[in-house]
Amino acid sequence: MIKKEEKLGIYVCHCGGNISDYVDTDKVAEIIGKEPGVHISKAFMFMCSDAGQNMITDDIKAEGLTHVIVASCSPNLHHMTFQKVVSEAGINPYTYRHVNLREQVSWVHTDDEEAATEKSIRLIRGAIAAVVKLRDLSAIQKNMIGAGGIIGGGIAGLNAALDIANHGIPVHLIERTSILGGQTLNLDKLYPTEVSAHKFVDDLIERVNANKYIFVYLNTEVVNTTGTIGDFTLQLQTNGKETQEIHVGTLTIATGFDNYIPMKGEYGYGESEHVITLPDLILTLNSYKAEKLVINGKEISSVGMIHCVGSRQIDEIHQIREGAKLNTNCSKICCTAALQQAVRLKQMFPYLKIVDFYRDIRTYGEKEIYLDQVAKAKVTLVKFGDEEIPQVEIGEKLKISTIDELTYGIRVQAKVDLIVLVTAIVPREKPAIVEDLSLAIGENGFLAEAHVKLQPIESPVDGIFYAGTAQGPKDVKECAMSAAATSAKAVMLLKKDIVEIIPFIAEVNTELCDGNGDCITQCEYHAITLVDDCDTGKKVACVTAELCVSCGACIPACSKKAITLIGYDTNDILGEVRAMIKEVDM
Amino acid sequence: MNNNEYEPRILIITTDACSYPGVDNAGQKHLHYSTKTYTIRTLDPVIFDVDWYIEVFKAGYDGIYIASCGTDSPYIGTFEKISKRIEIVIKEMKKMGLHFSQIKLTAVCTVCADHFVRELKAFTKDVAKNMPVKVIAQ
Repeated sequence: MIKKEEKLGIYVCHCGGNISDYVDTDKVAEIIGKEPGVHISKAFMFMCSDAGQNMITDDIKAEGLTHVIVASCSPNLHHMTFQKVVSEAGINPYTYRHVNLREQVSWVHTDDEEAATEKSIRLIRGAIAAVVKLRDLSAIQKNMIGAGGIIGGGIAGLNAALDIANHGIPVHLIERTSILGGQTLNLDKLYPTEVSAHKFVDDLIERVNANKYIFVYLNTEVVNTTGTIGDFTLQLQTNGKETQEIHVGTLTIATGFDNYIPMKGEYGYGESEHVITLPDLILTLNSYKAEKLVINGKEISSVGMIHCVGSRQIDEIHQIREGAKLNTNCSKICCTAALQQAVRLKQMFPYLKIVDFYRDIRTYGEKEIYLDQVAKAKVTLVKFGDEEIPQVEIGEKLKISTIDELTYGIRVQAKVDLIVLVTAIVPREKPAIVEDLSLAIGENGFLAEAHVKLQPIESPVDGIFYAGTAQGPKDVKECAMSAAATSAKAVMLLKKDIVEIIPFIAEVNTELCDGNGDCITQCEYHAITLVDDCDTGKKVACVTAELCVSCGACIPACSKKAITLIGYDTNDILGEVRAMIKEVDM
Repeated sequence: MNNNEYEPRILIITTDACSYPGVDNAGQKHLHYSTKTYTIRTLDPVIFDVDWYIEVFKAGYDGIYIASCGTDSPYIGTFEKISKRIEIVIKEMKKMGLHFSQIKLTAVCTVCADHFVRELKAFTKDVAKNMPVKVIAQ
C-alpha cells in the first residue's frame, strides 16, 4: 500500500538503444506513470550521464520526491552511482531501488519487444512495491585499530607484513616455530629464476627485522581470537606458557600447507628406505657435496620419479587413510618442482638415469622451460593413465611398471635404485582461529574465500584475509602476489579511523521474541545471544551487529517471526513478487 | 516454445555473490530465455521459510527456480539448510496438487550463463508439462 505522502520518481533509461531498441521505454514510462504513488515517470537516453543524474537531483529538490527508482543496466554497474545521487539530494541512500532492464530484459529478449516491454513494467511494479517498504538506514560505524595482525611467518606472511608496514602501519607477525621463512627454507633454488631460496628468504627476513613497524613473535601460537573487523583480540602463547593479548584491526591468515606423507606401502613407501618423497630428496641434495649419489648407504645410478602421489585421487583407484577424504585436487606446483629436481640431479650427477612417471604435466606459464630442460637432459618421460597408476615392487632393484600412454599403451617397466614420490600439497591442521571466527573450509580442506572470483583473498568475515598456501597450493611467486593483494585490502581499512559496516543485519522484534533460542542454533557465526530485555525482564534474542554476516539463516528458524534481516524482509519481498505478476493493461 | 504452448510464470531467486552476476552474464552474452521469468535478488535464499515458497505459488507463479551459490556459498552451511527445506516444500506442494518439478534448487556461478539458460529452459518446459493446469490457446 502506497501512503499518500509518498512521491515516487521513476526513471527509465534507453541506454543509448541497448534497452530502447528492444523495449518500448516510452510506453513503460507512460504506463508506470499511472501507478499509485508515482509522481514522476520519465524515459531518458542515458540516466548515468551528468544530464541524467542532474535530472534526478533537480526533480528530488523541485518535486519533493520521497523515493527514486532507476530502471537501466545491472545494479552491479550503477546502483552505487544513483545511491550517491539521491543521497546528495537528501534521500537516504538505502531507500534507493534499481531495476535491471538491460542484462535481464532487453539483452535476453531481443526478439519480442512486446513481451520485453511488459516484463519491464512488471519488474518496475515489483520495485515500487519494495521501495516503499525500505526504511532509512545508516552504515554501522566502528573504530578501527590501526595495526594489522598476520598469522604465519612464511613467504606469504613476510611479504604481507612488509607490504603493510611500508605504509607506516604497525604489524604483529606471529610465527609458531622458532624461525621465520616457513617451508621455503627447505627448498634449494626458486623457479623460474633459479635464485637461491635461502638468500631470497634471508633478504626478506632482514628487511622485516629492520622495519620498525613490524613486531615479530616467534614460538608463538594464537590460542584464542575474538572480536570483529576494527578490533580483533588475539590471545598469544609463547613457548607453550607465557601469554599476552594483542589487538589488531585486520587479520591476515598465512598459515601455510603440509606435504603429504604417503601411507606405508604406498608405492613402497616405508617398506624400502630407497623410496623417498620429493621434499626428502630436496633436503638431501641441499647439503650434498660428494661426486657420487649415495642414499641410505646405497650408490644410486638410476632414479624413478612418480607424480601425483596424494593428489588427484580417484575413488576405488587410490587408497587413502582410514577416515581421510579423497584429495581430488591437483597440487599444481609439484610437476615443476619434480622436473626442476630431475634437472638438478642430472647437473650434479650426469651419469644418473632418470625415468619420470607422470599423469599430466602441469608446468604452466613460464615454468614450461623445465619441460624443455628435462628433454635436453635426456630424462625419460612416461605418461600413465588415470586408472593405471604405476605399480612398485621392492627388491634389490626397485621395479616400477605401468602402461605408457605415449607409446599407445605399451606396458613399460623401469628397474631403479631410488624412487622419488612427488607428493601433494595438503591443508595444514586447522588453526584455532578457524573455529574461533567460524571461517569456512572449502571442499578441498583449505580455507575458502568469500568468492572465488570477486573476493578471491577475502574471508566471508569482514577484516580477515587469506595469503599464501593456507588457501590452496601456490608457488613462491603466487604466495607473494596473494600477500600483496591482502595487504592492499588491509591497508585500505587500517588507514581509516572508522570502518563502516553495511547495516543489513538480523534484527529482533523483542515484543514477539519468546526467547526460545531457535535462531541461536541456526547462527554459525555466534552473532546471536539471549539477553534480559530491559523493559520486560524476559529473555530475548540479541544480535551482535559486527558478527552478523547477513546470511539470514536465523530468519526461518523463528516460529514467532520475531527476527528479520534489515533490507530483506521476507514479507516485503513477497509483496514485490506478488506485484510483479499483477495483470498489465498494455 | 510455440504460440500454442502456455508459458509458465517462473520466479528466479538469485544470490548477490553468485547467481545474480551469473544471470547478468547470460544477458551480456545475449542468450535468450522465456520472458515470463522474474528475478529477485537475495543475499542467500536460506532466508525464506517453507510458507514463503507456498505463498509464491499461491500468488500465481507456476515455478520457482532457486539459483543458489550451492556449496560455493560464502555463508557456512546455508546450502545444506536450503536443501532440507526444499524437501519439506515439495511435500507441502504435493498436498496442494502441485508437481515436484515445479521447484528446482540449483547452483549458478557468476559465469555459468550457458548452464543457467540451458537449465532454465529445461525447467520451464518441465513446469509447463507437469503443472496441474495447462492453458492451451484455442
